[in-house]
Amino acid sequence: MTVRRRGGLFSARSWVSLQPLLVLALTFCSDHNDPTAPTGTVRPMFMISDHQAVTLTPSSSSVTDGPHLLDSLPYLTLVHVVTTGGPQHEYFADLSPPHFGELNQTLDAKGFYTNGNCRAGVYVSIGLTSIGYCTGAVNPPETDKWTIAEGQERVTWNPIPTDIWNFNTHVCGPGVGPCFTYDGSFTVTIDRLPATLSMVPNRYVVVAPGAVSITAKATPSFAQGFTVPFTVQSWTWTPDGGTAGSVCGTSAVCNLSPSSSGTIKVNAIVNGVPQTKSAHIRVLCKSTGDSLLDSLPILDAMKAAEAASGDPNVPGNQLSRRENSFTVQCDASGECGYTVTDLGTPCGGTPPPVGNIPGIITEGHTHPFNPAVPNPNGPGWVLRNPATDSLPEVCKHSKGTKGSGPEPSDSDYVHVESINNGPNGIFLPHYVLDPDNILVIPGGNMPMAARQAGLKKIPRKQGNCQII
Amino acid sequence: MRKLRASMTISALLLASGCVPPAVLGQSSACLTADPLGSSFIGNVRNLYADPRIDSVKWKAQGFPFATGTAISLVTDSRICASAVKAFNQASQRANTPGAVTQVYVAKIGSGGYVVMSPQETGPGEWHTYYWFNTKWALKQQMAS
Repeated sequence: MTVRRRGGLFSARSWVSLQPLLVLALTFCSDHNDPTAPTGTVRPMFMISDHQAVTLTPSSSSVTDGPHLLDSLPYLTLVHVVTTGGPQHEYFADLSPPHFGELNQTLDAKGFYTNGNCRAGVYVSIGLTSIGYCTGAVNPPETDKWTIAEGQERVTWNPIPTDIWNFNTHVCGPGVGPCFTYDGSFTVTIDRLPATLSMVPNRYVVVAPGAVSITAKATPSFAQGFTVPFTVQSWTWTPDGGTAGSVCGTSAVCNLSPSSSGTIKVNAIVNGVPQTKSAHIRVLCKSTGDSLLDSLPILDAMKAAEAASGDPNVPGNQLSRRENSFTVQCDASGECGYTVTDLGTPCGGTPPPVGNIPGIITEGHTHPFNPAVPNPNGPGWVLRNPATDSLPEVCKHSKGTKGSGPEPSDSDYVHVESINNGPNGIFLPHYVLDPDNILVIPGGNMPMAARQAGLKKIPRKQGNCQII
Repeated sequence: MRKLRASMTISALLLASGCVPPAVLGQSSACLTADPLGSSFIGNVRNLYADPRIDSVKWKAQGFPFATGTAISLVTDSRICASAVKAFNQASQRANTPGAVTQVYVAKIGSGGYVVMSPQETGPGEWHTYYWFNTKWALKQQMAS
């Protein structure tokens, strides 16, 4: 079983997937400038699709194909509008010989511009924004265009003005019959630029009293020569076990000085779609002395791994304790998250292949048993509570073995060395969480003796300060 | 990259199985010294003894091996290792069984005794058993590490 978390305990990456939200129906901004009643394809107003397509099949100069109403974009959105297909052949349809049935001209999606009118072309508009295509001599016609717009998307094949040929020499027009017929078809696609909400705290851990600055932005921020539309709607701060409160207004940057751990959450419109992101900010009563632990969500990752494996100090967990591994990774924007993998046994397992994890910063695992400690009353190491601390029988290689020591195992060191040493080694410190300590095995290419000499043992409780 | 993946796979297996296949050891003596497990073993024993909570005076007075730092060293004397193998198999109830080990890592704890570990000890997980003996090979402590 793998549990993935991004950006904190409660913000799985899937949260930012672009699901249509019912709230759009409430904030929907319809285009009231359309004099034509909707015909053709009509989508529910609250649905916003990343990709839409409609096929136009022109038939004659007296029949408009459309308007086809696609999404109505409630917010400014950067979209890509493309028309493909054709060509269309225009045939004479008037009843006056000798032209009937003859090919008049071959046209693409833009149709053609004559006598101040666009004719026989595809027309796309979003709200008040005309995408084209036939725009006369002012702008070159386009069939591939990026634009930022909001409002109702409309797609039409438009013979306007209908049957302009109504001359004496041509028997066609209103009340008579079409002047031209057409074959061919066009497909218009409207694609929303995929963009996600990034929320990047400058640190995920604050040593009290301290401050954290969280920046929200669209990813990507710029595309196709445009600034991707982005608006923060609200921030909320929820202390662990407490009540959510509004903070920071609609600023893109939220500066906080939290007195206790909590979750920061931002709601924003990212390229037309409401998205939410949250991250847990851990407030420490004392520095751990380890710069990574004091800044990245490693403590949260360890705590989640421990919670998933069964903290031995929690009643009822003794029988379900398992070693879990975790990785902490940060993307290019600086947003960090963690992954917990249940190794499935109380005595070790196969960790994920860390070399395949983009942006990995560190890894580690849990030792879900209270370690043996130096005997306070005599020589050797003893278990604080032999009833619960001893390794399960399944983990013991030899009869009579009781607990495990308060150090990383030999296998742990060999594992860390295999990742960090050698020509293809990567710098990856390793953290082990047991019920008493955080054990920090340094990363980097170094001899085993140096790595073991560099081991840091950080007590989870220091005086009255519970680090984790 | 392939090399990295291969080494990671090996390390994953090590973490999973908690043992090194005998063929990897590549040594014929009862004394194992090969790295990385040799270095890891010595470093781990040294770190265990670096715990400031240890009352060294009391430990020594009661005949428990005690030393720190470089006074803890890897044994290469085959006679000592042969004795360690015998003591290990007796302590682990492997003597005269198919599971008896033939090679061990031995850490000399100053002049007070030894800690013995064998990667030939098989079992699931990451933990090897460390055995503490005095200089007369009397078992003093057994703990996974």
